[in-house]
Parts: sequence; C-alpha cells; structure tokens
Amino acid sequence: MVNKNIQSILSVNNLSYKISSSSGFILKDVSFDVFPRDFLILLGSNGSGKSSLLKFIDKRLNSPKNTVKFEGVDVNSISTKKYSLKVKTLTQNCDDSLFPHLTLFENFNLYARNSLGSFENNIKKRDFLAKYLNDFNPELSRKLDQEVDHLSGGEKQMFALGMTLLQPPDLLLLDEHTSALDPRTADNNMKMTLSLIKKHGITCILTTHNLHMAEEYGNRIAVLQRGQILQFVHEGQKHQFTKEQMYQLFY
Amino acid sequence: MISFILSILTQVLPFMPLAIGISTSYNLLRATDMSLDGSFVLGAVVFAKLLTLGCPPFLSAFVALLGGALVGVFVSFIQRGGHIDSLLAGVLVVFILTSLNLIILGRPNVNLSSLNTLFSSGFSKSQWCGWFQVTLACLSVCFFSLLFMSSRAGLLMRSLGDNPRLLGRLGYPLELIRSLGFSFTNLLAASSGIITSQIVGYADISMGLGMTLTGICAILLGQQITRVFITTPVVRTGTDFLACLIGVFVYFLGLNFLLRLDIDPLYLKMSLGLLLIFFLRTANMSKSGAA
Ligand SMILES: Nc1ncnc2c1ncn2[C@@H]1O[C@H](COP(=O)(O)OP(=O)(O)OP(=O)(O)O)[C@@H](O)[C@H]1O
Ligand SMILES: [Mg+2]
Repeated sequence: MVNKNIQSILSVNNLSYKISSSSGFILKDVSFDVFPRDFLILLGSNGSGKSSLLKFIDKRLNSPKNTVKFEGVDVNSISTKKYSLKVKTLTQNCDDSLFPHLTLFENFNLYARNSLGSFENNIKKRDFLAKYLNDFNPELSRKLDQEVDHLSGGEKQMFALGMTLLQPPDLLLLDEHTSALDPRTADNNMKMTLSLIKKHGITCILTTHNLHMAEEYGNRIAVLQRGQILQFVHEGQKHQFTKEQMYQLFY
Repeated sequence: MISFILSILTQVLPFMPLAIGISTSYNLLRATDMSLDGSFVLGAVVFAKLLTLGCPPFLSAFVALLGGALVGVFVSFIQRGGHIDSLLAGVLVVFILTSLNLIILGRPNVNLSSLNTLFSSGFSKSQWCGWFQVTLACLSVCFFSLLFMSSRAGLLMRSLGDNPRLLGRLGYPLELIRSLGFSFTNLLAASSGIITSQIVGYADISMGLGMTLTGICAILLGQQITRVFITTPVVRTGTDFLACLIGVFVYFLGLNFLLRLDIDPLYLKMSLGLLLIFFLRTANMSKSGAA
C-alpha cells in the first residue's frame, strides 16, 4: 500500500476534459497521486486519453483550478519557466523537444543555458558534449556539427533524451517516446532512459498500450479506458491481471 | 563589358544589406516580412529630411537606422501572441508607413544632389573615390550583420524560427528575441535605403515598392545556385550570405540584360512575379523532395 505520509509530488483531483458540451468526455473524473521516485504507468488503448492527461500535467493544456497540483501547489500558479525545469516531457515526436534545423552543438548551447558559465571556452564545451553523448550513442558524439534533421529517428530520439535530461527534472513524462523506433533501438533507448531515471532519482510517468512494458517497468499501473481510470495496480499485485481482463480492455 | 559589370555592381552593393535582411527574416526567422519595403523608404526619407534640416550626415544616418529598428519592434509587437500572422503584420506596417513617410518628408520626393551626404566628400574628389566609400559602407554593414548572425543573438534568432514553442519552454524571452530579430532586419533595410538615396541622388516615397519580393526572388535564385556546389553547408550563416550575394548579382545581371534587349519596362514586374512563382515552387518542391 502507498504510504500516505509521504507528500505526493503530483496530485490530480477530479480532472475532467471535453472539447465541447455535446461531445463525450476525453477525461472523466481522473484522480491519482504520484509519489517521489514512483514509476507510474498509464496503460490504455489508443484514444483512451493518455496523451491528453500528460498534456494537463506538463501545462501544455490549461487545467481547471486545483485539479493538477505539483508538490502541493496548483500548477496554474507556477511560472512556465520554473515549471519547465521541474517537469519535462518526451513524446513520440522528438522534434517537439529539439531544434531540427540547428546542429547538435547549437541545440546543446540552447539547452545548457544555465550551466553555460561553467565552461571556459567552446572547445571545452564541445569536449563535454562529445563525452556526454558518447554514453547515449557513440555515433552522436561524432555528429556535433550536423543538423538534427539529418539524424536517423533512433539517433534523434536518443539525442532528445540526452538534451531533456541534461538538467534532470523532478518529474519526467514519457509519452510512448520509443514507439516509433524498431524493437532493438527502442530497447536501447528504454534501457538508457531507465538507467538515467535511477541515477538521478527522477519520478516518472510512462504511457503505453503494451502490457509487457507496463509489467516490466512500472511499480504502479493505472489502467485508463475512455478517459477514466478503471483500476490501479500496485506493486506485487501484478499477477491479478489476467489475460481475460486485458482482453476486455483492448479488444 | 567591364563597364557593364561595374554598373551592375553599383546596383548590387546598396541592395546587399536589404537582401541580408530579407534572407534573415525569410530563412532564419521563417517569416516573410513585407515591412522591409517600408523600412527601406523610411530610412531614405528620414535621412533626407534630416539632411535638408541641416543635420550632419552621420547623425541623420544614425537616426534613420534607429527609425528602421523601431519599425521592427512595432512589427514584432503586432504579431505578439500570434493573433496576427507575420505576413499580414508586415503588409499592415507598409500600409501605415506609406502615409507616415509622406508625412515625414512633406512631399513625394526630395533632391539630395546639392546636399552634403555621407559620400559627397568622396564623389567631389573623383568617381572612384566616391564608389570606394560606398563599397566600404556596404561591406561594413554586411560584415557587422555577419558578425551579429554568428553571435549568440543570431543563434537565438535561428532557434526562434526553428521551434518557437521549445524556445519558450526552455525559458527564453520569446518576444524580446522576436523584436531583436525584426529590428535587425528592418535596420538593414533602412541602411539600404540610406545608401540608395545617396547614390541615386533623391529620396522618393515610392522607391521601395516591391523590394522585398524582388529580394526574395533573388535569394531563392541564389540558394538554387549555391545548392549545386555546396551540398552540406558547414557554416550556415556564411552559406546564406553567399547565396544572397550570388542571387542578387545574378538577378541584376539578368535585369540589366533584359533592359539592354529593350524590353518594355511595362512587362518587367509581371515577368518578375511569374519568375518568383516559379522559384518559390521549385524551392518548396526540392525541400519536400528532400524530406
Ligand atoms: N484537441 C482535441 N480535439 C478533439 N478531440 C481530441 C483532442 N485531443 C484529444 N482528442 C480526443 O481525445 C481522445 C484521447 O486522445 P489521446 O491523444 O489523449 O489518446 P491516447 O490515449 O494518447 O491515444 P494513443 O495511444 O493513440 O496515443 C481521442 O479520442 C482524441 O480524438
Ligand atoms: Mg498518445
């Protein structure tokens, strides 16, 4: 059971969302808490509302007052600039988090704004970036002066991960960020992502429609169907998820 | 032949700052900023007006440049929040400037040939000396804009054109950077206006008409040509600059050639417009073809 004494890093309370009054709910009365170092999985079929939910959490969509709170504070009252350092998102479309027509080094220059002072000169900075990227994908460290657009999809997503975690956030939202990659590349990226999450102690929410992924990575799983949280599965309860239940969810 | 090339150069030089401004807004800020037409005239008009009032040439030029920069701030302000798109904002500003320019100048045109300008000391000595000064002025404007574009401010402007949302999320002041960008391009346009008015010897409120479109045409032409021999650009700003230079040169070469063939100027704008449509189509096709 979740220890209620720990303060939640994120809490969502009765969040509902519909586009117009005549249309159906995209999200309906969604409530849940995320605690420090949680790895929460949002499991649901296509169109169940996973991405929409994440958009409310990272302020891409404006939430009604007090429905989304970060560290106990309504997200609407936190400045975008401050919030964007604490909560970061990686989506399937990695161009969202990169400048596609700038070079890798230029992207880094824009991302590394706050730590800019710590570099004596450009050469040191390039050295740092090459070493940093080498852990992600050795190919990347050789392409510092190439435009992001000229990278392969897998390299791009790896670079996006590197840039997003250059200054690790408190909460990381992963919206199927590996789903456009081939299985092996996706696996590499996921391994890297997990090791960084562990290393920096980042709290994470990951969306997926893949049950195996959910069982492998998450310590809690929220099952989303047509905008509602159907059930919460806590660690140790995973086996209660029968094939029949899953079948009902997805087919 | 040499005099033909020289006469083209005299047209290319004063056009270069404007061309760099257009290229910057079109390629880097990803905005088709039509207000450059108006800033070009504003530069010439403010400069001429101050000269007739007896201001020293350098001060007049400085104020005229400032005027251009202010236009940029205004264009950027109109677009604030994305309620009016950049193309419309530019057209609106040109609309306003046509009347503002007339108000400033007080009449449709002013003759500068009898006044003391930036280059009159040179031209009073010899033709060569005068053109040397003009060349120096144009090249230094180009040089400083290149320097500016390769600085961090230039990087911010490029990133604004590339992914404004991300730039905002990373906590950069979007509106400030946009203002900076448009001030820079409009200032360049004004400097072209200032130089041009001194070469042709007058400031006229209709002298900027269609300049931006002409510029875009020339730049696209230049890009098509440079693409042939520079396949992987190493220095983006340098390549863009080269494309500008080549495009403007080839454009004026073609223009003068057509004029030599005694083509009725009546058909000139029409053929130019059709040419521009052709270049825009091929440029966009090669872009989507590469993607
Ligand atoms: N701006 C919008 N306008 C209209 N409908 C929307 C909008 N945003 C989301 N929807 C609808 O809300 C539902 C949920 O969308 P959402 O993208 O959150 O699903 P998802 O769970 O992320 O799906 P997927 O697994 O395909 O990514 C969909 O039916 C979608 O059509
Ligand atoms: Mg989605």
